[in-house]
Order: sequence, then structure tokens, then C-alpha cells
Amino acid sequence: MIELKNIEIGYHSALLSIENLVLETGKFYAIIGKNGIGKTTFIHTVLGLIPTIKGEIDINGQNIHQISANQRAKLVAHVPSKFEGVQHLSTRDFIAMGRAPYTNFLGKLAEEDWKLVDEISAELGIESFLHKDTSELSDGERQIASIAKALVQKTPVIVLDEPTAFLDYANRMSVQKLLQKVAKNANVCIIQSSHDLELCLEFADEMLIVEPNKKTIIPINRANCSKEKVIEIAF
Amino acid sequence: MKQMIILLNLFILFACNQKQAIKQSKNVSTDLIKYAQNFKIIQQKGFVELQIVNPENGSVERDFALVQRNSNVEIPKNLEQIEVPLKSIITLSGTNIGMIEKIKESAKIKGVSNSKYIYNQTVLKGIKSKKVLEFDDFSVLNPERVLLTKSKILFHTGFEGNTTANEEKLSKLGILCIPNYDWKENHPLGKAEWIKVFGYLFGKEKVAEAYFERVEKNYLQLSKTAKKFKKKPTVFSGMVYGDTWYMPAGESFGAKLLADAGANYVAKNEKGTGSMYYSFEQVFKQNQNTDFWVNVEVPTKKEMLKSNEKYQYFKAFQSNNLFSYAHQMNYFWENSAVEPDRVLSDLIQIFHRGEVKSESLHFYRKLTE
Amino acid sequence: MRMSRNIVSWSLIILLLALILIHVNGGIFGFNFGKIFSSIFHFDANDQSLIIYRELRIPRTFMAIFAGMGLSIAGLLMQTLFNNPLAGPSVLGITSGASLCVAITMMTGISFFTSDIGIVMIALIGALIFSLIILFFSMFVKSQISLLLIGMMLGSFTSALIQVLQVSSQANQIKAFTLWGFGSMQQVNFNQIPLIFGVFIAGVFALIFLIKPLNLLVIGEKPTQLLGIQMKSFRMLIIVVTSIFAGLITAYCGPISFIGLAVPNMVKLLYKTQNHLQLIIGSALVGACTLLFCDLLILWIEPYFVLPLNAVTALIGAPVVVWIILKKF
Repeated sequence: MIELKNIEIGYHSALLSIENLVLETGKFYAIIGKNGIGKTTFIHTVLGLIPTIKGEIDINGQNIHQISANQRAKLVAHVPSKFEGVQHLSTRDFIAMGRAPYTNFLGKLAEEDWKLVDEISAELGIESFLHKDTSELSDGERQIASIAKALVQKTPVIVLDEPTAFLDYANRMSVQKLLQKVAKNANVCIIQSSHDLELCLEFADEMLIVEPNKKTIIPINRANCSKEKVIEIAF
Repeated sequence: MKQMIILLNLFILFACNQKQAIKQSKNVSTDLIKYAQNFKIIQQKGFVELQIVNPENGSVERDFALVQRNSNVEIPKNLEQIEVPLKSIITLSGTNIGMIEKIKESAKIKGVSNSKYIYNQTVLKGIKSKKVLEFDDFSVLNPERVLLTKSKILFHTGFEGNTTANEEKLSKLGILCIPNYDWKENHPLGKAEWIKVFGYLFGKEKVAEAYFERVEKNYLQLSKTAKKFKKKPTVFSGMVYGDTWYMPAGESFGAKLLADAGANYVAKNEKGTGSMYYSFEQVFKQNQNTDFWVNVEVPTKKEMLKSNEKYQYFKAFQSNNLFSYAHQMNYFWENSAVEPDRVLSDLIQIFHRGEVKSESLHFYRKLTE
Repeated sequence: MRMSRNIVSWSLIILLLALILIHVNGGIFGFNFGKIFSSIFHFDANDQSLIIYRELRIPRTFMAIFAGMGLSIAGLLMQTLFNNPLAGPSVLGITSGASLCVAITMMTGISFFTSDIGIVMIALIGALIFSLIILFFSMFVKSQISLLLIGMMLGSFTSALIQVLQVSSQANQIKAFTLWGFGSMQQVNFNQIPLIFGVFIAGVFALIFLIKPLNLLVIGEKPTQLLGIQMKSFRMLIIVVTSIFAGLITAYCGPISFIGLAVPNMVKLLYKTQNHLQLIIGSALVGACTLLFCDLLILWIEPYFVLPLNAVTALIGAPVVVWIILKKF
């Protein structure tokens, strides 16, 4: 569970202010809003990369801005919009990086860590390219590998920054479907920012619409939401 | 980079000037040296003491006892022992080769610096037949190759206070490295007097002393003659390298030679340590109408203009009062140090043509078209 | 993969041992363990062959091994930190920093700094300052090429300062500095080995703490941070370790170019991994072999003419760099 308590976010002056917002595990959230409105800033703040101007963000009761980077990495994981792939880095080794917060200073993985990597890979159905070099994967495969890495990190919250921005339509669909499934099965709180309004409305449990006048986030359940309504509020 | 090294060598040879002479202690009555400041030879009981003096502060930097081979003389503990006469020697200074040649021991030279800078024919033949080894600069040569020469003595251009890693390594291998400070002498005769060091080392001290006495006599005679001339023509020296014109400062042996030859050297009042460097413009302003121009390093006026067209605006150039080395530069480096009388005689001929009995020049030569 | 990597490592170890045996014997292969052993432990100052080993050959071989290792590891750290295959201690101007400080001490002749500890310290400080400057700029420039250009500008800036120093220093000091700039494995004495070894080991010890973050860093700084690494302190530690290696080696051997840049790239080609434990071991092995080989070339050619070390490393390194540019840019 992630709680935003009366926060203001932004770099110098407040871009967004949110009074009280609770996002639950097992649910898939989509942040929707205009370009430059502060979606990425919001994500960076939730990740603990930038401090809040006011208020605090708690995950499972812990203020993420007051704990160490390592502790934070056990609470929130991140999937960037694009992972370029690295030559000589195998997909399995890449996914296993998600275990880093749980290893000692040498970074050596235990048997169980590898078991978890293989289990999650099997769940996502990516065994076929698990031993491929990450530089040889397709964009879609890389994005799923990134999600696998975030899952391996075993955090209650996973944040995705426009995860489908660089994918074709088929891949966008499958990624959204996957996120919907994962949120339920793994019982994590998934938050993504996206421009894919239709796909969000189809797969996400709740829309977090950034309202440009009041500069705040309005959560609306998928059941009560329509494309027109979102457009009316957000754009 | 190689050019850089050559330039630096030139720099050391011509431009480095000396600090004020150190007062020699008067109580050494058996000191056999008259002009040189940077070494002393003292006759002790049963052996000869050779001291190398640090030119910077006048302290004794190295202290050697020259002991006849197979004699059982007790020497004080603080002296380093050298068995004489030497059977072989390495010297990285060109001037030393000239001195050793004068006492007819050049066949015993077993190692030298780059052959490019050497004139001595015995040495060059030795290099060809691999009996003489070429070495890089003292600080970077490979000590193991020194062992191949079987020499126990290595002379190198001395830089005060610079003990290099190589010096330490060589001394552990039983090779004595002796700094040569002849280039730091104030007086041309002091520089020439270094021949005595080699005289004592090779057991030819009588030959060396006789030679030096002759040079000294000639030199003093010539400078006495030159003092009488009322007219002192002005003179400047060198050429521009890149943007810099190096000229010996007023207290260097180069300046002393010009003064003793009865010339008015333009930079004679430049004091201080280090060399004088000027821009082309400074030299031109000062010397457009200077009478003589010596130490030009090319043999013809054509080549001068090729290296820099602006040379044509000097009066000395127009009136053909240009003098360069008669032989290749290596000959001048090797021999001028040990024949200052001949250099002086040349210079007097140049500056006072018509006032002295004319003889042919030896080291110098007027530039041709 | 693991299997073939082990084969590579063992082959390199055998090659390294062979090169050491040739190098320590003055260029000819031979087993002289007895002599080497007694020259270190039962030294007899009257036995010339022992002196040769102790004073000439062992220090030179030692320095070639450790300079090769240190520079290559420093290069690897820079390449991973800046995510740039063309980074290295000399390209980024870090050795220039050490050079500048050494130049200042050589040409001003302050006596504390001409002592062994003094020169190492001043070189380390110089390397550290210039590393921090590069790190500072790396936060503002996005392009890999820009950072390299800034590194080269640091190099030019340093040479300019050194030239200014040279104008007012004496010929002998200029000459000593020029020759130092050629790079050499010969300037180390037997009794300096413990100090060099000690500092080197300190660097290696710090490396242990870098392996995990370095392995993560290949996917970028932000992901590394989000996997629980404190980037600020990690970056500082990389810079300190690089400065230790680059500064130490520059102080004793002069600014040696290309090794730190070329070797890690060769290692990645051989090992085909991003595991930095293996890359570090590989860089150490390949670096030591490369520098030993370069110095052996000097030994072999010496009877004919003298090659400066930096000329040899450039002859070998420059083609490697061109190859990297063709491949990666």
C-alpha cells in the first residue's frame, strides 16, 4: 500500500499537489495527463529520486524519503520506457539484477535468488530468450525482461514510465495484459504513466487523471470512466 | 621529440650560464687547479684526490681517491676509490671526448651518447665495429648495457642535485658515475682545464698539464693583445629557434670569450642565472646595426634566408659579417672546449681584421653566398 | 561460456608467466628462480648477477606488471562509470593531472615532494583533482564524445601550464621532465617496491567494494540507484580508486598512454561478459601482458635504437582505438 499524504511535488516550485491518495496492492493504476504536466516528476518522486516539497509518501508505512537507497529498493521498483540492451549481458543476468537489494556488498546471488529468477521468467513465459544477449532482444522482449527484473525485486510497488512508448500495437497490448495479470497474481501495486488512453481504459483498474487547473490528481475507477470524461478532465 | 632533445642539448651547450664563482678555500696548498671551479685535484700522500664540486653551492659533491693499480695505499673511508690508469671509460659528454683525444687515449672510450653528435673518428669506427656502444640519455639508459662495456667509470653531463634512479643502480653494479660540470665553468680556461681530470685518470697527468700550460699561455697572450685595441666592434650571436632566440648571458664562458677577443658583446650586461631568450623583434631592435654576427649555424647566406627571410634586414647580414662553424657542429662541440686559445684567436681575427697579423681561421668560417 | 572464460583466464596466466620469465631474464626465456630467489632473500652484494636481478631486472619487471594491471583496471572503471568505451585515465586527462603536479615538483624542486612518498602523494592528489573535474563535467554533458573532448582539453590545458613552467625553469629540469614524459619502467628501485605494492594493494582492496555496483552500472546510473546503490559515494569511490592507480603509476613511470584505453576493450572482446569481477581479473592479466610485451620490444630493439615506451604503447594502442571507433560510434 502506498499513501500520499498531503504532498506537493516538483523541482523548485510545486507542479502538483495531492491531498490524500491511497494506492493499493493488487491493483493496476494508470496516470494520464498532458505532456509536461508532471507525470514523470510524480514518478520520480514516488521512486524517491527527488524529495517532496511538502508532505510525505509512505509505502507499507515507511516514509520513502527517509530510508536508505537499499531499503527503498525493497519497496519500489522501476521500469523505464526503454532499456537499450547491453552487449555481453544475458537476459537472465539482467533480470537477476533485481535481486541486488537483497545481496551483500559482493553482490553474489544465492541459489534461491536464481530459483526466483527462473520462476518469474517461467510465469511470464520468457524462457525462450532467457539466455540470449540483451543487445539481441526485440523491443518487446526487452520491455518484458525489464518487467521481470522489477518483479524479481519483490517490491510492493512497481512504477513504470510510459512502458509502451516504443512498442508496436501488438506488443503494447501484451504488455498491458501482462501488467493487469501481474498486479493481481503477484499482489503488487502497479503504477504506469501512459499516453495510450484506450489501452489504459481497457486494462487498468483505476485512472489517475492529472487535472491541469487545480494541478492535482483525480482518481477514477475504470467502471465509472469513459474516454470522453478523461479527455474532459485532463486535456 | 628527438628534435626537442637536440634543442635541449644546444641549449645546454650554448646558453647555460653560471652562477657566481665560489671562493676556493685558500688552505689547500697542494691544489693543482688554477681556473676550474667545479673540480679540484689534490696531491695526497700516496694517492691523488679528485673532488667534484657542486656548481650551485660550492660544496664537494663527490670525493674520489685515484690509486695506482695494485698498490696498497690506505685511503680515508669517505673517499670513493678509483684504480688508475683506467683501462676503459664511458662518457656521454662530447667535450670529454675532445679532451681524451688530446691525451691520445680515445681508443679507451667504450661508450658514448648518440653517434649523431660525435665527430671523433676513432670513436665512430668503434661504433661501427660494435666495440663502442651508444647510449641514450643518462637518466634513461639501460644499466645492463653499461656492463657490456666492462668500464667502471661513466662520465655524464652533471645536473646538480639530480640523483637519478640509474645512478643508484649503476653504483650498486660497481660503476662510478661522475658528473661532468665543465659546461658550468665561468672561464674558458676553466672549462679546458678539465683535461687534467682525464690526464690523472689515464695516468697521463704530465701530458695533460703540459697541454694545458700551452693553451693557457697562448690564451693569456692573445687576450692581452686584444685588450690593446681601442675599437671594440659590437657582436651578437645565435639564430632563432621557433620563436625564441637563445643567446649566452653575460657571465657565461661564451660571453667571456667574446670579451677577451676585444668585442663588445650586446648581452654582456645580462646577469642572473639561466640563459637569455629573446623574441625576434627584441633581437632585431637591438642588433639591426650590430657589426658582427657569430655562431650562425648554417654555412651559406642562402640557407639563412631559407630558414628565415627576415635575417636580410640585419646590417651584419648585408655587410657580410657573418660567421659560422668551419666544420660540422660536432667538431666544434668536441674540440672548442679544449682549445679555447684557438677559438679566441679566431675571434680576434674576425673582430680585428687588419689590426693583427692575419692567419687562417680554424673553428670559424665566414658565410658564403 | 563460463568454461571458455576459464580457459581464457588460464591461458592468460600462462602467457603472463612466460612473459615474466622472459622479461626478468633481460629478454631471453629462462628459468632462473634460484637467482631471483636469492637476489631477494639471500642477497650478496658481491655477486654481480644477483645485483643485476635485484637492482635492474626485478624492479623493471615488477613495475611493468603492476603498471599494466593498474592502468587497465583504471581504464575499465572509467569506461563503466562514464559508459564510454573510449574513456581511460589518459584520455580523460587524469594522468595529465598527475603529470602537472609532478612537473610542478620537478621544476620548482621543493624537497619534500621529491621524496618517494611525496611524489606519490602529489601525483595522487593531481589525479584526484582532475578526476573530480571530469566527474563534475560529466554531470552536465550528455554526449560521450563531449566528455572525451573535455578530457582532451584538460590535457591541453595542462601542457600549456607545463610549458609556462618550462619557460622559467632550467634546461636540466626541462630535460628531466621531457624524458620522464616518454614513459619508462626503469626508474624504480628495489627498495621502492614495498611502497608501490602497498598502495597498489590498497587500491585492489577498495575494488572489492566496487564490483557489485559496477555490475549494475552497465544498465545505467538511474537503474543502479533504484537498485539500492548510493550513487554519490559509489562514484567517489570509483574516482578515488582510479586516482590511486593512475597517480601511483604516473609518479613512477611517467604518463603512459593507450594501455588504460585499449586493454579493457580487448578484455571485453575476449571474455564476452559484463561481470566486473571477471573483467577486472581479465584487465589485470591482459594489462600486465601488454605492458610486459611493450617493454620487451624496447629491450629487444635496444641494441639498434632506443624506443620510448609511449611510442610503443601508441603503436599498439592507436589501431585498437580506431577499431573501437569504427565498431561503436
